[in-house]
Amino acid sequence: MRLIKSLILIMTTALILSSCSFFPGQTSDSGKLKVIASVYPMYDFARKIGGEYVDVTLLVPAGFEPHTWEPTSKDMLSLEKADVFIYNGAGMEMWADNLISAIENKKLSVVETSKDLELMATGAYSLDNDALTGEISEAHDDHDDHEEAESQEEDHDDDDHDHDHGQYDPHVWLSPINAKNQMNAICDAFCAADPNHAEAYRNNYNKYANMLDDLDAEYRSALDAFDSKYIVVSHEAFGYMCKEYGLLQVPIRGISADAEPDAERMRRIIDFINANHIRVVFFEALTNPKVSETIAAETGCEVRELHPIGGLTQEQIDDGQDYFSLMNDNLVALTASFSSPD
Amino acid sequence: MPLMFQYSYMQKAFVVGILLSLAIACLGVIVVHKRMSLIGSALSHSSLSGVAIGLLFGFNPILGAVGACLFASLCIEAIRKKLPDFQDLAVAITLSIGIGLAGVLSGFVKNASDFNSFLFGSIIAITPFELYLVIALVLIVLLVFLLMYKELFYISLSEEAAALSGVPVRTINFIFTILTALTVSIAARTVGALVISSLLVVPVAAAMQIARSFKTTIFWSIFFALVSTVMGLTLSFYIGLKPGGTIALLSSLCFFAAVIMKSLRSRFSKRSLPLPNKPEDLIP
Repeated sequence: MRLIKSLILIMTTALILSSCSFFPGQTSDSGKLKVIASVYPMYDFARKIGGEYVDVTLLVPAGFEPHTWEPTSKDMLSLEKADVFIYNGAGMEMWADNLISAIENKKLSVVETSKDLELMATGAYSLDNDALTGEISEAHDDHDDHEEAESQEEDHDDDDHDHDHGQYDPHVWLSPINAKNQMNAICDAFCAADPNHAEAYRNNYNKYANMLDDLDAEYRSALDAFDSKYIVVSHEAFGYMCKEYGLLQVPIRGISADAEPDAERMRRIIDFINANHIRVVFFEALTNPKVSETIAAETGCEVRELHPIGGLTQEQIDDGQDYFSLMNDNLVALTASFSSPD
Repeated sequence: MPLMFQYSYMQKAFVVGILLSLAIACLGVIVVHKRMSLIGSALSHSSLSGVAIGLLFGFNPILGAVGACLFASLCIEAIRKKLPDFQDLAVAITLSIGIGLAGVLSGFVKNASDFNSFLFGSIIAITPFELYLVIALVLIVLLVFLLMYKELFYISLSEEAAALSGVPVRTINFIFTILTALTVSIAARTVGALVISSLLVVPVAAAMQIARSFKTTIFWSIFFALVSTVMGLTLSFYIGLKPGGTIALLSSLCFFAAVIMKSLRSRFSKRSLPLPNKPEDLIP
């Protein structure tokens, strides 16, 4: 009897306590849509579309590399209470599928923003070892390169990849056209979840869609002027940007940013840089710049940052940097690397 | 000039690799005879926790790594004294503390990949600063090693006997410990933890199969370390293998080659004298 009594006591206290902890969640609900975004670009887009009517939380904290991050039980709890969950897809969030199937929140609307996009295989528009050997000259036709890259892309589909990202290159937002598409998906989800403010969401979308069109036009007009558009990057994150604007990426170490480089690959890249008079070696925030610096020192190149925008540090967010400012920085870096010194 | 040496990153890789092979092989002989062959991985993993502390409290993570390495090596010495019969335990315990601390602290580090970049140096991406650092380090290590050669030799055979003959065992141990910690922390950052922990032990193990005295053990260790490094870099340059892994594998290959050589030699030699394997056998 005693045992049963104490059991009942424990259970009722547990019930009371748990119901208590639910109240603050409900009272703080100031009518705003509770949105959880997986990675920084999704967070930024959601805040731009939602404006003052949504509360957006970034799931992968600032400064974390999204590939290596894993959700905690606290994150699960916040998803149980959310209205909309926005994620990029295309293999960016390897943990997303498990997470979504584990959630019991019935009202949660889940948005995979890359769903309607044409995805590219990892390693598309990038030069591998074979492509770097000697034959490539300055006069190389861009069109050929693309075909080569595309056939490479098909080859890659059949390959068994042991890359970080799996089959597809997830960095879709690096093309403003794709970003517009993603914003549209987010806008649709907001309108469905909160029809009262649908007009505001639509207006926001139109505003930023125009800005993205402008950004796209700027990229085109700035980059069209150059003939050879090779970018030496530390890993293959810029495929979508390359596709859109006729660039070709020369990745130092394939798709995984942390892998050890090998001496042969470094030699090929150094030779390639010298043969093609490339003037800038790009490195990415959140990765070790040492290898890029070594190559730059060898070839007399300059080291510049090209931001994949997958994750920002807290300082950058506090600084007011966002997708647009970083894309503009990227464009400045790109044009500076192509324009000839004379 | 071979194609390989026309690139300054390969020149730097060879200079750093050859210098570190010299110093690490010398240290390794003592380390192995002191039964602390895992000290390389214990210290390099402990240096991770130093990196984490550095990143958390906002000072230079390399300083943090050196500090943590020094602390961990002193920790090993202290535990070794408490457990004289199980000296290898000291290394194992410190390894757990180091990895555990690094694991817990890395949870607080905001930027996980920043953390990674301090873990893995690569022998083919050496900055000029690291080059000078390694040159200075190797000079110090070799100088101290030559100056204290007799004492180190005695201690690595038997600490008790050394103490009885008036060798200042504690001081010598202390200096040696600091030297090892410095070498591991700097080498882990420049050439990677894998290279340092394999070069510290495997060439010595190979040398012990062939050498007939303490001195020749040192020479053979240096030889095997140099062969592994030079061949590893060459293979990496010409057929595109990862340099760190290749060096570790080649040093293991040296070990197996030495084992085979030893068994062949004992089979074909008429006076099949047992080769000295234990330090006790080496006492003249």
